Amino acid sequence: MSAVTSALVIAAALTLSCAHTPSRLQPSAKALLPDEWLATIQDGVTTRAGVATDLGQPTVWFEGGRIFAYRLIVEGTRASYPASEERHGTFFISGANLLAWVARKESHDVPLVWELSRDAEYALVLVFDDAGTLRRHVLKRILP
Amino acid sequence: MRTLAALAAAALGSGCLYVPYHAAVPGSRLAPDEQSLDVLRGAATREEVLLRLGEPDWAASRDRVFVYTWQSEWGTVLYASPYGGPAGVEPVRGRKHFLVLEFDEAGLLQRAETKTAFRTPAVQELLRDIDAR
Repeated sequence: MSAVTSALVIAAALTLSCAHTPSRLQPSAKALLPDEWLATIQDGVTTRAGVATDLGQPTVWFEGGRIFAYRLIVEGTRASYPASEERHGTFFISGANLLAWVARKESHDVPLVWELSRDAEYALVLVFDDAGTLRRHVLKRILP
Repeated sequence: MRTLAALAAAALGSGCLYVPYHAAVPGSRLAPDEQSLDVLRGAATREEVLLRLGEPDWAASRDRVFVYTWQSEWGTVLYASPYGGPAGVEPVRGRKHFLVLEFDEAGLLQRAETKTAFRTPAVQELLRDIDAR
């Protein structure tokens, strides 16, 4: 192969590697949150106060607190963390060999929180009725 | 053999290495799937949107406007210059996508618009426009 051909092959390879259009990102098939992990959350049973006790203050809420939304950041196994607790303005939830924490606006000011590795992020949205009982909820994987 | 030598020379001489991968930018989110976006085609309420898409990245105008953003990272470039020049690692990122949703006073979806921009100020301007209405 001549030097010119080699150069063309290299140029083509570099061009193609940069010009490819990867497919759309899909959520990972690896389930990180086992069903029992949020077993305390049940439609028609769980109350707003109960959710706040289990998960702390939501990331954000809407319509006067009728809808709670939690951004749950799952870190994977971290046996060294204690049970669920409020720490550094962030609510850490541990159990089933997993650790997750609830992201809040003030979490952005806690360098420790953003330095932690993360395996997945979930959006947990809870809709309550007028009496404060959970009517509907969804746990949706946001990343990755 | 000559080809290998040419490849090696190209790799060493360029001082630049592209490591391709595909991931969401940290702090971003996966692009909403078609099934989730179906909610935008009907008379969706704020509640339905939240249940399909999760909490928005920004909310403005007393929750009348939701903005969802996502952005992909296509790889990393490692670069180094000879003779003490600059060296470093830079992520290669795609455009940032914005899904802007506007609700009426009753919480019904009135408008859904997807925007792509390299800079956030364009969307900030959009939010200011909506606030000013």
